[in-house]
Amino acid sequence: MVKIDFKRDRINIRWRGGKWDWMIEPRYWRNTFYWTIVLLLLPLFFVYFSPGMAVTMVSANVYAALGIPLAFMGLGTGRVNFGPNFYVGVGGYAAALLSLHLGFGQLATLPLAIIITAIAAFIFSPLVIMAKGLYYTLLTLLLPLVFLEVTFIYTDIFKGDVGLFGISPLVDFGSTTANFLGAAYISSVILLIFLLFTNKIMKSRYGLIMATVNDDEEVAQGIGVNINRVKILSFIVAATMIGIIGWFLAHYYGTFSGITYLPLTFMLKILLVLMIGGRAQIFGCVAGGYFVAFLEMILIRTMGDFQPVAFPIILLILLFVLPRGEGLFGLYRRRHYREYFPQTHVRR
Amino acid sequence: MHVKAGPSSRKSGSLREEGVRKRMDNYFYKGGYMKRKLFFAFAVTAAFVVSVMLGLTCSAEAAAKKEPVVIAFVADLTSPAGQLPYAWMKVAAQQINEAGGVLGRDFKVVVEDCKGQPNLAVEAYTRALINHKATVVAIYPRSEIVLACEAKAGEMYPDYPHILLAVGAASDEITYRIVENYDKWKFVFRDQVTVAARVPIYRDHVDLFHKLGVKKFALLREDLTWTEKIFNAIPATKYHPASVSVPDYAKSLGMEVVYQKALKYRAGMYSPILEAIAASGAEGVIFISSDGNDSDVFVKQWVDSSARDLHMLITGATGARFWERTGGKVLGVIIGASEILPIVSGKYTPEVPDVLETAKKYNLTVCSAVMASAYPDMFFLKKAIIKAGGADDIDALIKSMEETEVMGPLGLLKYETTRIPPFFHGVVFCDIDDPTKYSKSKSGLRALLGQIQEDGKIVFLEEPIKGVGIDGSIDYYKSPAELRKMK
Repeated sequence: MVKIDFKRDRINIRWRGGKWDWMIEPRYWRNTFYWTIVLLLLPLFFVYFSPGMAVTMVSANVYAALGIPLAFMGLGTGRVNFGPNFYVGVGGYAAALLSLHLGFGQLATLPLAIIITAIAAFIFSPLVIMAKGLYYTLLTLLLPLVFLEVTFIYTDIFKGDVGLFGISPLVDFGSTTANFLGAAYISSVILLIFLLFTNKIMKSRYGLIMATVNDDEEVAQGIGVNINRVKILSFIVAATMIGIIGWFLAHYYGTFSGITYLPLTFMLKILLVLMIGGRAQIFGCVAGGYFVAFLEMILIRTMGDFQPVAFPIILLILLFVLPRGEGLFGLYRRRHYREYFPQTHVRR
Repeated sequence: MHVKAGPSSRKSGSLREEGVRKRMDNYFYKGGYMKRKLFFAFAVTAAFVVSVMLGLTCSAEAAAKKEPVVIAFVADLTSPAGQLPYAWMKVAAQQINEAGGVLGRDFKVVVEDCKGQPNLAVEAYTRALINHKATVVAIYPRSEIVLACEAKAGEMYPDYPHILLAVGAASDEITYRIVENYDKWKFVFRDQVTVAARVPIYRDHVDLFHKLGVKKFALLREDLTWTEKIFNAIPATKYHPASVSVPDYAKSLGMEVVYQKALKYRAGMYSPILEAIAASGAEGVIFISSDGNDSDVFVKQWVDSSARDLHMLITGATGARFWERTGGKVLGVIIGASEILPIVSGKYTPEVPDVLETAKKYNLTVCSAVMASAYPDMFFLKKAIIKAGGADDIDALIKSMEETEVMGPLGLLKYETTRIPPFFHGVVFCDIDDPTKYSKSKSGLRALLGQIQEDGKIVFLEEPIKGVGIDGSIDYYKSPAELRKMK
């Protein structure tokens, strides 16, 4: 029998042994709700007023959706993964190869890409137990680079520098505008699902356990937390989320090439999204993703030859100026400290 | 007014609250709110009026003069390999416009930087079509970027008809799908020859070593897809006969490849490989590479290695100002066509302005990658648009491009119309019946080889194209050791 209790700030739902809270206090959800509305209206605005911006928006969503699982992984493992793009490669190549060789559509490749990425993440998950500090950083950094070499060595399979092409499109409504809208909404929905999922986990008891592991592994173990299980699960779940983005990129562009996503340059951009947005803030990844994507686009269009220099300089200045660990979103947080936002426990 | 109550008379709880209340009172009761509201309304109205006036002015100007034909150039401008073709395209547009334009319309080249990243390239491509309303979008040069843009272009083509011109991208894959679905992909053109067609060029290099008396040599290639096909035998298909690999060709001349290696693109560290080559007993090295690779780094490490006295032939990657970039360490290296071809081109290009004079006038560097693509492409487009009677009917323009021929700096520029992948809509370079055969009569192209000697001067090692009148002979060759002694 489902029992519902209406409290001042929440609704408690009890069923059998389980209990779920649903926040009704506006300060917990109001601004998040408004921003979600904005996010959902943006594609319409861009498509009708500046369709090129809709493509930039997709990139921004992708960056943000890569930053969120990376922050989540960092929280649960207590380590910063410097090679999240490895799982972009796994998910992307899985989707691309299945589409090209077995003729699978985008919906059929999605679950398989998820499974394959999860398996790959499971294989490499012992890294979070075996290594830490600089060793973990270097090991994770090397993974995508090794994968990149593999794509060159096995050119017959991965098509090396040229990449795989002819992958079934993400959406094909027969109209450019509809396709823009479709891609923008799918990327937005993925982003929102990632946010919702991460938010729920972090607010849950499991989130608290993850934060404990992040704060001090030994203490966490001392109070009875199975830290290895927490770290491995966090690693696999986050890597699988990153793999979903690989799937999205493969179908969205219709081509997939390791040389695009596996080198350091792409990984650095994801890390910048995380740092600029605020590595202690899950919602900061959205701010970081949009900031980096739109800043890059604006600089390309306005600064000409100086753009390649201006872009890193601006980001460097921001890294120094912004509140440490809180990033752009931290500025918002300072003015809206009464609102609830999930916050990662970052080791400083 | 939204608030009718008077200024707050509550007792202040703290200095902070007092300050906040004072600001609120000032805002609502001393006219701040209304003033800001009025100012905002005024600003919006003014912006609207200015926009309308600007729009009317622009429309009037546009009506007075015909809209230009927009050619968008999507390239990695963070690399010199992207900046140079862009500069040459702009110069070509200027030359065309100064000569009266195209059917009364000017060429306008707009650039969209993609920083060598496919996602940014797709964004740039989209902007080129939607914001710039480009008739032609040229993408330079990496194949994976072209393929990513091609997929997006296929989606957008029905709503935004245009021409996709792959500039300098050599991958056969770019033109595969045109034959499969002509109506969908007919707007794609690739201004490069097929990879298979390049094989004979590299045989010429082996021939040169043969003439120099080399019996054993090392064969290096940059580890990219296009060189793999050259390195290995190309199996026969129903469209072209089998091609023997470069090592097999050397064997047929009684030579031996004693060391083979695929080098990572822009590897940066070549010393161990050069030492291994020296130990292998090789008398010379052929390095098959492309624009953008770090051949200058390779050369610098070569002169400090045990292989410094071996014959060295680097093809393709020499780029511009090789001598300056290496501080003269390139002395004695045999290079591909980059710095040589424009000299030839000045002699026989009736439809394209003399590239040497143009380069001097605009202070531009000449290199074969641009001379074979970006620069003559503009004159080709001009001719095709004139033949099509305008640039608005894209179907007519595609048909016209299939029929147009222009003699570019490196020879004939014409697109293959036989519907055989990957040749269809690629540049004609070889006999369609036997793409592995070099066809001078059709293309006018030739892989001239020269050696960099004292003060960066290039001497020709082969008999040049008939009628051009350049003095070239294998007798002019001097070994690197000999040249260093003469310094």
